[in-house]
Amino acid sequence: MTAEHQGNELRIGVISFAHMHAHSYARAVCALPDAKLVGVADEDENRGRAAAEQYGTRYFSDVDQLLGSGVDAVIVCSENARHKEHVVMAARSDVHVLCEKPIAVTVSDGVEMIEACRVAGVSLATAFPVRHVPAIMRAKQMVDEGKVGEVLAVKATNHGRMPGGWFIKRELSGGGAVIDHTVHVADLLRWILKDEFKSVYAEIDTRFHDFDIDDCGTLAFEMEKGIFATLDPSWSRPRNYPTWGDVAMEIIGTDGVISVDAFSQHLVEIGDSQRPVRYRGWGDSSDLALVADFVSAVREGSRPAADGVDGLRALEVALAAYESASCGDVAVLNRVDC
Amino acid sequence: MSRNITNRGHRLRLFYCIYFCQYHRHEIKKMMLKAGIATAKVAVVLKSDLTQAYNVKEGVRVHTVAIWGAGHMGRTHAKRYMRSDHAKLKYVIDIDRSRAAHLANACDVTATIDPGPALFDPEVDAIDVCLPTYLHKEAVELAAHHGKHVFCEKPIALTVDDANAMISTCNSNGVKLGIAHVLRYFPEYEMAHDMIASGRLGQIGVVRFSRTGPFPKGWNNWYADFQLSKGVFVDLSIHDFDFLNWCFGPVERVQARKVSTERPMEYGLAVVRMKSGVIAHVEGSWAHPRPFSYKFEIRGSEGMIEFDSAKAKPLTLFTMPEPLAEGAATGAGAGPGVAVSESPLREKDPYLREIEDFFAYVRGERLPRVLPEDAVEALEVGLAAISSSDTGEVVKVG
Repeated sequence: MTAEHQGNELRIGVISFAHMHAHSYARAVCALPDAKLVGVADEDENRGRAAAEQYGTRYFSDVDQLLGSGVDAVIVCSENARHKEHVVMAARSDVHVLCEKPIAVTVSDGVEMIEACRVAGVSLATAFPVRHVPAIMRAKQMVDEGKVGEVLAVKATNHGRMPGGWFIKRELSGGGAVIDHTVHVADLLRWILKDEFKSVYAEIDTRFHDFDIDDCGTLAFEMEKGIFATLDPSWSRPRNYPTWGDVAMEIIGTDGVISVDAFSQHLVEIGDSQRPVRYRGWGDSSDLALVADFVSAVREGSRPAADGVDGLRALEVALAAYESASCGDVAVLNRVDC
Repeated sequence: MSRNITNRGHRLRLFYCIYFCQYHRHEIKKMMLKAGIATAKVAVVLKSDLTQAYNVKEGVRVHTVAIWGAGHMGRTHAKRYMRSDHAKLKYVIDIDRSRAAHLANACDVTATIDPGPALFDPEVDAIDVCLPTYLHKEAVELAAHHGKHVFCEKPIALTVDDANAMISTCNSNGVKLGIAHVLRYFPEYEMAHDMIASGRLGQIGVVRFSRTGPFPKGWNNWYADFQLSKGVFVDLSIHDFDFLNWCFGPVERVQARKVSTERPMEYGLAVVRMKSGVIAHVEGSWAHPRPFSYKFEIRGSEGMIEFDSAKAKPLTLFTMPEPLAEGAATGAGAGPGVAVSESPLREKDPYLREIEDFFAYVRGERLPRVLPEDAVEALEVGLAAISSSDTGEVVKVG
């Protein structure tokens, strides 16, 4: 169904700036000619007011007020464990949703969100911006065209810095590095290989920090069609590393190898004094493309690049990794019907 | 050092001393004890036969060597004997007469298709075995029976039983056995090892090792026969498995997958958990159609190090392409040409240093950095990776 927007612009609100990606999405909404940022709801008043002021929009202390203010769609960037509450509220107000990843912290929450949006007839998109990185899109195209023959294996990394804050509070995040950084690559593998996960083996630990949430690990996957893959989702980038992290893959095929590094389009900036060396990306903004895709999906009533089910499938992989690590054996994926 | 070693307690102290003097750093002992490595290491040292370790000769003796196998590794070692102050080459043995002659001529030594002349030559102290892996046991044991010390290419053997038999044959014949796990002598890996051991990276969490290149060419295409080479985990990733053992002690368990095709190509990924808790990822590839390269990333609680050989190219020669044949389209000689990179080393040359280290062991000056027992440990991890890949199970090691 199409959005009941007034005028030509899709009216978009942001629910919570708890996740820092909200800033990038808000900038994207402001940059798009067919969308308008119409409000920010945040229970943290200082944070919400500052964001509203920064992007020239209205602050709502209450999510219901934002949802009742005539928005067509919202971008949910609250803490992982609160995604369900906010997405279900939006669906009940007939508002389309772009939800930050991971879609939720439990499978049942994810299913409830998908159901609520389905019943309301609104779009539910999961924020997997890496699908919109041109180098990644080109890699998928090469696989589709058989440039490396039949794909046999994939080696992937999604390293990052330890983000701190609510990310290391299990009741809000649902887990550490593994839930934070498994879902992106899990989504890419499903999308590029057009296949589902069969099993996961994971070595997970806390070895860099003095807290009780996972900060490192290495995962090994098997896909239903027999392709195997590994992923390092660790928060292993020191604060002085030149960039936040990476999303990189090597796709090994019968006729060759594709090596893709999503964020290697950067300058190297070297400062004087205390400023560490930094990478400064000059490539296309994947967040802008992600929000543009969501806006066009809502306007045209089409499916977004990654929907709620895609978000749920990626979450199932991350949760299976924790299950594998706790039982010390390979965990077989048990995909929920939805 | 005292030569009156009569009891186990004294031996133990002495071995500690020998082992740690290698590094001239006593703080390493502290670090290793903390990491739980020292006990394992001492046990390994006790296992090896050191009965001749203390007969240090006056002056430095120059050893005489025969290389058995004039393939890629034989040629690599021969170049180093040309430069060594401690060992000189006398024979090149190869079943292929022209290949033996080619290398022997280049080194100005004797070529032979039969090991006999070298084995029966009393001047020859050691045989450097550079044969395909499946021939190691036979060659090493033959050399040992002739009273020759043996320096043998990695992997030590294709099975743990074969490897142990080789060690025991060398011990019972009173000859030293060295295994060429040359990675421990690569300065970039050595520096990484020392940084880890010094504690400056803090507690190590996740490490990644990668070794990728095209399918290797060998005599009679022996690499392509899995029964003869055991593929990427045992032939290629064994370098990284040995390095993991050196840095982090023994392995707890391995989960691995590999795939091969008729082309031929083989590709393997292993997730390795060390008993110390370190999580390791090891990639071994004979599926990358590009120049061979290797890299690693080591992250500890206090910092990380990363290395990529493809980015460490101090020297590259770019040559113009051959002009096109006469009558071909215009634009002769156009195109990218060929680029060949090198990373030359002088005194830090790893192949020279592994040879010198082995002959210092033969002379009884010190224990080598790689003991045959270390090579067995690395082989066990490689075989565990194959087993995990074959069965889909997580395989415990040791």
